[in-house]
Amino acid sequence: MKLLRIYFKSFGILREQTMEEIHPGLVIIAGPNRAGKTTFMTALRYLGYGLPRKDFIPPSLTGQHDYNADVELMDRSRYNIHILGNSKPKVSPLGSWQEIEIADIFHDLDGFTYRQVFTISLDELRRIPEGLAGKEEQNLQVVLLGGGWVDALRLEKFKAEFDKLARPIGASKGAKNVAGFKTYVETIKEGIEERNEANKQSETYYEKKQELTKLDEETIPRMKKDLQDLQMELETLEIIKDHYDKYEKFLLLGEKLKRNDHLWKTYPEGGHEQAVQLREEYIASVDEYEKIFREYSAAAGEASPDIFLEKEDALLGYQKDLSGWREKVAGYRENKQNYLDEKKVLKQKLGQLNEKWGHDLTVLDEIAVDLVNKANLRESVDKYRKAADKKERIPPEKALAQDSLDTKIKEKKQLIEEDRPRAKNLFHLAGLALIAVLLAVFINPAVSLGVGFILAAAIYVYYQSHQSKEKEHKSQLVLVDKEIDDLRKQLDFLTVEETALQEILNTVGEELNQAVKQLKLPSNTPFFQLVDFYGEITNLKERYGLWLKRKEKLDVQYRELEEIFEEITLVLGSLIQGIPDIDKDFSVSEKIFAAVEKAVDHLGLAQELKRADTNKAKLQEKIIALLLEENPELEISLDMPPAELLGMLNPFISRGKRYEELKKEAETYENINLDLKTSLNIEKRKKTLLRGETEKDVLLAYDQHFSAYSSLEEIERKYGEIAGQEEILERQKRSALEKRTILETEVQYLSSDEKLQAAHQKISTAKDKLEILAERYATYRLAEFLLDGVHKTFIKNTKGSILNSAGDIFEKITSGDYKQIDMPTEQTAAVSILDFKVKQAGIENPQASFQLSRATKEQLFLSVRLSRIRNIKPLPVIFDDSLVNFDPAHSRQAARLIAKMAETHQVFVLTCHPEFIKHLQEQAASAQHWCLDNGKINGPFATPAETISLLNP
Amino acid sequence: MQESIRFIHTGDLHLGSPLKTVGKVSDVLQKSLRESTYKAIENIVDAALNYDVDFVLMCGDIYDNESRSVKGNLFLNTQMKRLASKGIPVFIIYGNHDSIGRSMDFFKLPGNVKVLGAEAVEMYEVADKSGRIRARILGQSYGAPSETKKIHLNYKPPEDDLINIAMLHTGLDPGPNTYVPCSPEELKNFPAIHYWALGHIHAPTIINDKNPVIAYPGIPQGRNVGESGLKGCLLVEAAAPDQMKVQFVPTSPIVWLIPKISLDLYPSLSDIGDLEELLVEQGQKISAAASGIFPDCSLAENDFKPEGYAVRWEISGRCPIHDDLIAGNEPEITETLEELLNQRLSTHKPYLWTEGVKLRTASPIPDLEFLLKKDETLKTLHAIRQKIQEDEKYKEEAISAMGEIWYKPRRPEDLRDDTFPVTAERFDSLLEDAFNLALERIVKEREEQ
Repeated sequence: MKLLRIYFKSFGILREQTMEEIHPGLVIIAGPNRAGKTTFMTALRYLGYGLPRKDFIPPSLTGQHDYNADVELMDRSRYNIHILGNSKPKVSPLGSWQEIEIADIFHDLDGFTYRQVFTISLDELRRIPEGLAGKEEQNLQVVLLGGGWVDALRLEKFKAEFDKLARPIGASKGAKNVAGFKTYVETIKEGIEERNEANKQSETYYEKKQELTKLDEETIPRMKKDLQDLQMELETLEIIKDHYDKYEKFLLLGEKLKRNDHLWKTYPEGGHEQAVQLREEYIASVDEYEKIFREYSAAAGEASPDIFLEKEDALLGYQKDLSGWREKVAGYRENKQNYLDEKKVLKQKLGQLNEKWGHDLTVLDEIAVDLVNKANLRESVDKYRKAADKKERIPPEKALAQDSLDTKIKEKKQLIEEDRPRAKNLFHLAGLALIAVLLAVFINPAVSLGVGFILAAAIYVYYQSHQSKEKEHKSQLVLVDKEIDDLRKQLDFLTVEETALQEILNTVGEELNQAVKQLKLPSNTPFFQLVDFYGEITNLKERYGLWLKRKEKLDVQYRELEEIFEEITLVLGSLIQGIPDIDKDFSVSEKIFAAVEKAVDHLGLAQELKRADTNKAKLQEKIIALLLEENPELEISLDMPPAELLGMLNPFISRGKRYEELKKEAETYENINLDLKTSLNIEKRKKTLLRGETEKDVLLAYDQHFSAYSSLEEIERKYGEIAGQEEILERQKRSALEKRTILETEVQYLSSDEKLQAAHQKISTAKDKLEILAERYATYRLAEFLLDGVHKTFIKNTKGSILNSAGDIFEKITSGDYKQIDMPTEQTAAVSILDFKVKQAGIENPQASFQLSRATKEQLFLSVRLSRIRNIKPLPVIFDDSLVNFDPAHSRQAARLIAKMAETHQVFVLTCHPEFIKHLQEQAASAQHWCLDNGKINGPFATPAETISLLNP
Repeated sequence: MQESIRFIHTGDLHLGSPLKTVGKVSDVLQKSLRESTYKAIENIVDAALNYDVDFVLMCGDIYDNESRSVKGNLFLNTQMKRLASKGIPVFIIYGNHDSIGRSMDFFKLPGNVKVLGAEAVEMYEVADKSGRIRARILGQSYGAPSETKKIHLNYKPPEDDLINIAMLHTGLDPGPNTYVPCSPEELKNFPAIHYWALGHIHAPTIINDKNPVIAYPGIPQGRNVGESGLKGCLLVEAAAPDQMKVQFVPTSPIVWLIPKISLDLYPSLSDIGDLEELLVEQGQKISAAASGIFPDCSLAENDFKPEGYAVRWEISGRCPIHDDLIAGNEPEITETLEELLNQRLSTHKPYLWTEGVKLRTASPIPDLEFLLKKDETLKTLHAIRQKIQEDEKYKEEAISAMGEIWYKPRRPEDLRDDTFPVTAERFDSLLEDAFNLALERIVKEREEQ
C-alpha cells in the first residue's frame, strides 16, 4: 500500500494542508524542530487504525481531528481512508473498486506492530540504553527493539513487577511458612493444636466424670458423716459448757433442801409473815387496851363501864335529840313571851275603839259583825255623803247666778251709752288735718306735700278703726242679751234639784242609824266613819281569835317538854349524880343537858375499852392457832399473859425466817430445773444430748454427759481438741466441694463443643485468609510464568529468520565491518541473560554485544528493523530523524539502504539534517522533497534545494 | 405381593464437625450454623420416624476424628433413643474418621443400636413390621483410620430370597488406597448383594440404580462451600431383591452454594451500589426458590425447606467498573459487599448468608478477540496459556510455579489444613486470572506509551 495524497483538514498544527501526488518511493520531508514532523508521523501511524484517546495525540484546534488519504494497493486499486475524530478509519473506494476493510489495506497487521515496526524514530533509538538493567540484557533489548518487539522488552519488567507483588506474600518459592503466609499458617497451627487439645477433652471428660462420681458418692458423703459426728460432739460439749454453772448450782441447792427437810415439811406456809404481823398487831392491841383503860378510869372513876354500856341505846338517843331539845326549850320560852305581848296589845286596841268596852276582851265575842253587810254599808255611806255634798253646794251656786244676772243687765245698759261720742271724733280729726296742710303749703310747699300725705294716711287709718269698733259694739250687745237669758234659766233648775236631795238624805240616814246600833257604836258616831269602824272591829275580832289559838299551842309545848325532862332525869339518875328537878320555866334544862353529854362521853370510853379488849383476844387466838399449826402438841392456854405468848411467838418467827430462805432457794432450784429443761429441750440440743434415745429424760442425759467430766476446764480442753479436728475435716470437705464444683464446671465445659468450635473457627478463618493470599500468589506467579513463555517465544522467533537477514543488512550498513549476527542456539533457563554476538571482519572470535559502540548498536538496531520490515507485506515506512548518530560514512550507507528499501516500500523520511538529505539524494534514484514549516507543507520539489535552504536559512 | 421393607441409609455424619464460618455472623445465624450438623441428624431421625422405617444404616464416619466431642456423643445417644422408643434398630459401621481402634463412645448406646465390629464381617437378619425376616445386613467397621484390604470380599451372604444389604465405607477407588480399594464394576458383579450401602463420599450419588443398587447418601449437612448443594440421606423401599426404590430425603438445614455471576452480562453496572443490587436480586431469587441444589436422584415426598443458604459469590467478567472501582480495592470491596449482603439477606426466611465474595473481574479490552488472533504478543500469550492447559508437563511446571503452598491432591478427600489442593477447576480459574493479569498489564503499558 502506498499513499497518493493526503489532506489534513485539521490535525494538530496541520490544518488545511495537502500533499498531492506523493512519490511512491522515497519522500523526504524537511522541517526544522517543532515544524510539525512528529504530528505528521503520528497521523500516518494511526491512519490504518484510528486515533486513540491519548495524551500524545496532538490536540485538535478546531473541533475534531479530520484528515484523509488516498492510497493505492498493490493491485492498483485505490481507496480513500478518512480519519474523523476517534472513530475507526472509514474506507471508501475511489472509483469502482470493491468495498474492503481497513484491515485488508494494512494486511491484517495489528496497529501496535505497525507502529513499532514501520515507524523508526529518534526517540526510539535514544531509548535503547535507557531503562534496562544489565549490559547483556541491554544488548538483547537492542535486538528486540530493533525487531519492533517492544512488548518483549517489557515482559521482563512485568515479570519483575509480578515478582515484586508475589514476594511479600510467599517469598520466592511460595512456601507456607514464609512472608505473608507465615502469620496465617502459624494461626492455623495454633488452631490445630487447640483442636487436638479440644479433641482430647473427650478422654478428659471421662476421667473427670469418674473423679466427680467418686467425690459425689464416696469421699464427700464420708467426710460429711465424720464432720457430723464431730459437730455432734462439739455441740454436746457446748451444751454442757453453756449449762455448766447453772447445773452445778442446781445440784448444790438440791443438797441443801434435802438437809432442811423437817423444817421444810412442818413449818406452815406463810407462817413467818403471818407471825411477824400478828406479833406487831398483838403488841399494838395490848398497848391500846391499857391506854383506853387509863382514860376511862380518869373520867368515870370506879364506875363500871358496863352501866354505861347498858344504857347505850338511850344515851346515844339522847345525844342525837339533845340539840332538838335545846331548840324546843328556846321555842317554848319565845312563844310564851309573844302570847303575853299580844294580850297587852289587844286590850289596848279594844279600849281605843270604844272606851266603854274597857279591857275585857270577851266583849268582842258579843259584837255581831256578821249582821252588817260591808258592801251595802259602804254604798249607803257613799250615797248619803254624795247627796249631802250636792245639797250643800246649791245655795252658793244660786247666789252666784243671781250676781251674774245683775251684772249682765248693767253691762247692757253701759254698752248702749258708749256708742254716741265716737262719731264726733272723726270729723274733728279730719278738720285738724286740713288746717295742718294748709299751713305747710304756706310755709314750704315741698313740706306741705309730705305733711298732706301723712295726714291723709292718718285720717284713713282712724276711719278704718272707727268702723271696726262700731261693728264690735253691735255684736257685744247681742251676746249680753243671750247671757242674761241663760242665767235666768239656771236659777230655776237649782231650786228643783235642792228639794230632791233632801229626800234622799232622809231615807239613807235611817239605814245608817240601824247599822250603828248593830255594831254597838255610840249613836253619835258620824255616818262617814261607819265603814272604818266596821273594818277595825272586824280586824280586832280576827286577831283576838288568833291569840286564843296560840294559847292552846303553848300549853301543848309545855306538856311535851315536861315529859322529856321527866324521862332524862329518870335515866341519868343512876349514872350521874346531882341532877336538879325540873321547874315550870325549864330554867335547869341546861344542867340536865350537860349531864346527858357527860354520860355520853363515858359511854364512848366504855365502848373503846370493850373494842380493844376484844381485838387483843382475837389476836391472841390467832397466834395460838399459828403456833399449834407448826406443833399441834404444844401446850398453850388462851389466857396466857402477853409477855409469855410473845416469848413463844419470837422463836417461831426466827424459824419462819429460815423457812422463807429455804423457800426462795427451793424456788431457785425449781427455776433452774425448769430453765435447764426448757433450754435442753430445744429440739437441736435435745437431739444432740439424747443421741437417738428419744425416751430418755433430757436432764438425765445431760447429767450423764456432765458427769463424764470433772471440771469445766476439762470440757474446754476436750472442746478445743475436737474443734481442731473439725476444722481440719471442714477444710478437707470444703476443698472436696470446691474440687467438685471445678469438676462439674469442667465436665460441663468438656461436654460442650465450644472449644472445638472455636478451634475450627480459628483454623477456618486463618485458612480463608491464607487461601486468598495463596490464590493471589499463584495468580502472580502464573502470570509471570505466562510472560516468561511469551518472552521465550519471542527470543526464539527473533533468533530465526530475522537475525539471518539482519546480518546481511548489518554488514552493508557497516560497510562490511561486521558480517554476521548470531545468538546461542541452546535453550537457557534464564532468557534475560541470552545474548547475541557479532563477527567483525578480520577478527576470528565474534564480539559480545557489550563490546559494541553506541553507533554500532544503532546500526544493528536498524539492520534488524529493516530485516523485519522485509518480512512483512509492504506498508509505508516512516523514519523520523532516526540516524543522527551515524558517522558520515555509515550515514551514507544507511541512506543507501533506505533508498534501496524505497524501491519496494514507500518511505517517508522526516528530518532536520540537510546532510542526511544530501546522502539520500545521492543514494536514491529518485526522491520527492517537501518542506514542512510551522504546520505548512510545501512541495513537492524535485530537488532538495528548497528543503536544504529551509534547514539552512 | 409382599409388603416392602423400608430403611434409611445414611453415613458421614461427622458429628461435632462444625460448619466453616468466617467473618461477622449474627448470634442467631451463628446458632443456626453451629446447630445445623446436629439438626441434620435430627432430621434423619425424624425422617426414619415419619416414614416408619424398619431399620437405619449408618455407613461410617459417624464421628469426626478431628472433632470428637462429648456433645456429639450425647446428641447421638439422644437421637438413637428416639429410634429405640419406636423399636427401630440401627446398624453402624465405623469408617476412617471413627475407626473402632479409636473408640469415641463415652456413653453406652441404647440397645437398638448395633455396631458391627472390625475383626470380621458381621451379618444380621432384620424383620419387617410383621416380624417376618426379610433382609440381611452385612458389614465391617474400620479397625484403624486406614483400611487397605478389600474387606468386602468377605461379604458372603447366602443366596436366597432375602434381601442382602452390604454396608461398606469406601472411596470406590480400585487403585491402591487406604479406604477399601474397589471399583464400581467389582461391586456391580458381586454375588448375592442387592444393595451396597456405601459411605465416605460426601456427595449423594447413585452409582448403580439396580441389581445391585450402589449408592452414597452423602453427608447430611455440607460443612463448607466445597460441599455445596442440598444434602440428606436415602430412603430405600425394597419389595424384593431386584425391586428397590431409592429416594433422596433432604436433611441439611443449610445449603452451601456458589452462585457465579458474570458481569459481562451486565455492562450497565456503574458502581458498587449497582453490583450490590444485582447480588441482592440474585440472592432473593435463590432464597425464594433455589434451583440446582438437588442431587441427581429422585426425591422423596417431603415438605422440607432449608433454614438458609450459605453462599460464596463468584463474580467474574470484563466490565468497566473493574478498572474504575474494583482493581486494587478487592479486599475492601469484598468486605463491604459481604457486610451489605448479610445485612440485607441474612434475615430473610430462608436466610441467605454470604460466606464470601470472590471477585475475579477483569478490564474490558476492546477487540480482544481480534487482538488475540492478530497481535503478536497477545497471540503468543494466549498460545502459552493454551499450551499450559494442553501440555501436562508444562502444566506441572506451571503448578510448581504457583508455590509450595499448593499441592496436587491424590484423592478428593486429600485435604490439608495449611496448604491447598490444586484441583483442575481451581487451576483453570487461577490460570485464567493470571492470563487476564498479564494481558491487562501488556495492554495497559501500551496505552501508556
